[in-house]
Amino acid sequence: MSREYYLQQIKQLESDFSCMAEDSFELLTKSLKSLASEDIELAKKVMEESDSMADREIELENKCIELLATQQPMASDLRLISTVMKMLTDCRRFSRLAWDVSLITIRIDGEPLLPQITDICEMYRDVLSMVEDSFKAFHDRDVGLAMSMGKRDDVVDAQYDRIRRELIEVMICDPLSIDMASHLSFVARYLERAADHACSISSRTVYMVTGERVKIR
Amino acid sequence: MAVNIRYLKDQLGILLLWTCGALTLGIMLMITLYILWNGLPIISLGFLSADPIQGGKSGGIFPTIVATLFITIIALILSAPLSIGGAIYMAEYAGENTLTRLVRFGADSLAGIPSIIIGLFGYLLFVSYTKLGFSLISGSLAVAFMAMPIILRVSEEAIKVVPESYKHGSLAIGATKWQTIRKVVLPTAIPGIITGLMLGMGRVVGETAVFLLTTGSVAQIPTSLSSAVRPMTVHMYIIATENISLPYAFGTAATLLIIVLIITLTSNYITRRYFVKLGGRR
Amino acid sequence: MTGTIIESRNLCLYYGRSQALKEINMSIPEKSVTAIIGPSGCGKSTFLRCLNRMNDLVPDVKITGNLIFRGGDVYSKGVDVVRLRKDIGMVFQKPNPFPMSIYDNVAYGPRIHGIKKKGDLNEIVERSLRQAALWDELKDRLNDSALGISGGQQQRLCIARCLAVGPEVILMDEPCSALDPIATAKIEDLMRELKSMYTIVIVTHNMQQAARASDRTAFFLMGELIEFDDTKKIFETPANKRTEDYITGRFG
Repeated sequence: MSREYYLQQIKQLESDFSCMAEDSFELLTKSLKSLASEDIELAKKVMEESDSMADREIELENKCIELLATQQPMASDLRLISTVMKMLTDCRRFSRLAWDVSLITIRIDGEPLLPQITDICEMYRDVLSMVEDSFKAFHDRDVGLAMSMGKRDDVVDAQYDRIRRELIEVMICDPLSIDMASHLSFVARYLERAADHACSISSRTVYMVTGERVKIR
Repeated sequence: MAVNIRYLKDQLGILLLWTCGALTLGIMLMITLYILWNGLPIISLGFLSADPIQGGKSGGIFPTIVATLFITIIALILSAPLSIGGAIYMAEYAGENTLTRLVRFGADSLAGIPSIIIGLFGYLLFVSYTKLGFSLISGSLAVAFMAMPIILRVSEEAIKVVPESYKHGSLAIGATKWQTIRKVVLPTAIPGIITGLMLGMGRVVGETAVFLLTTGSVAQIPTSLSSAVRPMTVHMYIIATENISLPYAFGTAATLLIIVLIITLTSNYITRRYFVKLGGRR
Repeated sequence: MTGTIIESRNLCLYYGRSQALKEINMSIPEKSVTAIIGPSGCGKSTFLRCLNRMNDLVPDVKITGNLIFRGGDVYSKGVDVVRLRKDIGMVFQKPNPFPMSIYDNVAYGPRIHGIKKKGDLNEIVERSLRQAALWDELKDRLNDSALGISGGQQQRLCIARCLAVGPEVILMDEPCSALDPIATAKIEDLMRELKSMYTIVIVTHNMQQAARASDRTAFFLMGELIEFDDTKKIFETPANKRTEDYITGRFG
């Protein structure tokens, strides 16, 4: 087999990306945890780690560009690298969303949460499994799994809608809780965005494997 | 330490080769200078333009010069077309098979046959059998046999050495094989062919034994192809061995040498001019 | 969009006993650049040489199948090979200008096909050199020896020489492999310009060149045509795994 060095580089790129991906949604999980348990220390930590994610993203992006310039990848290798470059953005989004959630935890500053938080945590369970599966589909090149994201996103969208409406009702009934309700509303929005990113990752995975462009949402 | 020995051996080798080259050059120079030293004083306009008197004891060598030149030209006219044509055929059309190998072997053998045998053959065939007698034409015909194999082999090599890429380039434009040969291969091979011709000429000019048996030895200016003539080499032989005039023999030898020199220089000049026209790169 | 100019049907070639080309079926579209890629010894140059019957020069070659050009089989009896090679010209791997002047090189083709008038020849030489993007560079040196110009210029001169006889198809056998990157780029630009008037078929072992310069690409492997498709498709999403492996450097 020829081009040993090149193949090694590609494998290394993929594994580095997988690491970064895992870390990014782990951050999201931690941020939710910090919100649910109102752990400000944890929230601060999440924000720090999220900042360092930005550097990792740039590093990996540079690696991709270096491979493009020096190795002239073709066909499936080329699709892999261009897909990874785009997914880096999605990864970064996850860590950024985690940052946003942690900021909210700090802003809430220990005030009691509304009961809707349970719904939000349940929504997150679905979102997390979507995100995990989207990366799994990428790693395993599983087109079927990737295509199934569409339906799951519909479920998450429905959940988001319900939570939002409930929170608006709460705001109307109890004006003192407008602050808290709007914070939680934002959190739900962030989670819905995360699910959208999982869909985007899946459609890129399909392109990488088959060369076809499909819309998954 | 080992490096020094290798360096020494290297230098020794170079010295050895240099010595061989110098020796070769030296011997050649010695012979040439000896002849010129002894012969140049004899050469004068009178010597070159007068007829020999008293069998060559005095006078000049004009008829012999004429004889040598005529024989050379006629022999070339006879042998060149055949040899060059044969070379083209063998190099371009025949390919490698038993026939071409035989022809090449035959040519090499012919080139190696002692000239006295060719002379005898010439005597039997041209002088006796066909009744051409001792004449210019008999001598030219016989000596053509000696020039032919040289011209053939050298021309064949010159043609074979023309790069295939030229031929492919020509054929790929839609030229026929003969057009390719005429317009690309031959022009490129001309320097080599001229070399062949020069080598052939050199052989002819220097022949003695063949002429002894075919041209006769009358030192007269030929009036027709059937006149008997005496080429310079034969003249040298006669006046030297029959003790007529050693100085004049040297004079004749020097003249011959100078003629050969002129031929070589001219062909070099022509070849170089041609190279420049081709592009100077080979 | 464009028609087929040369079609090979079940073309097989044998060097003595060994089979070098196996059932090649390929339709080459006209007025475009078709690239043929593949590892060494896969038969791409052999196939190219079939198109203008240059394989006739190789001893012990047997060809079966059909090669259709302008409605007739190139290998049928009675085909005028000399005429064929006027219509299908070839440029070789190593530039091979004749040891003559630049003018004589370009005029060689027209002259052997019977054009003698100086005026006509001048016109043809200028037109061909212009098409090969050499006129400005060499117009003052037409009587200089062709062997004195650079390698890249020599190769373009060979292209001009080819164009001078007015072919329909130009075959190029690894034309840039002996040239530096700048000369290579000039020839690739030239191909792009020429394809509006001529069909170009190029054999190259440089995949990036095939990707840059061609409209369609054929992948040969061990005498077989594995895949033949639009260049974009071959290099982004090849259908055949062997094509993919070759293009990504997994072998070859």
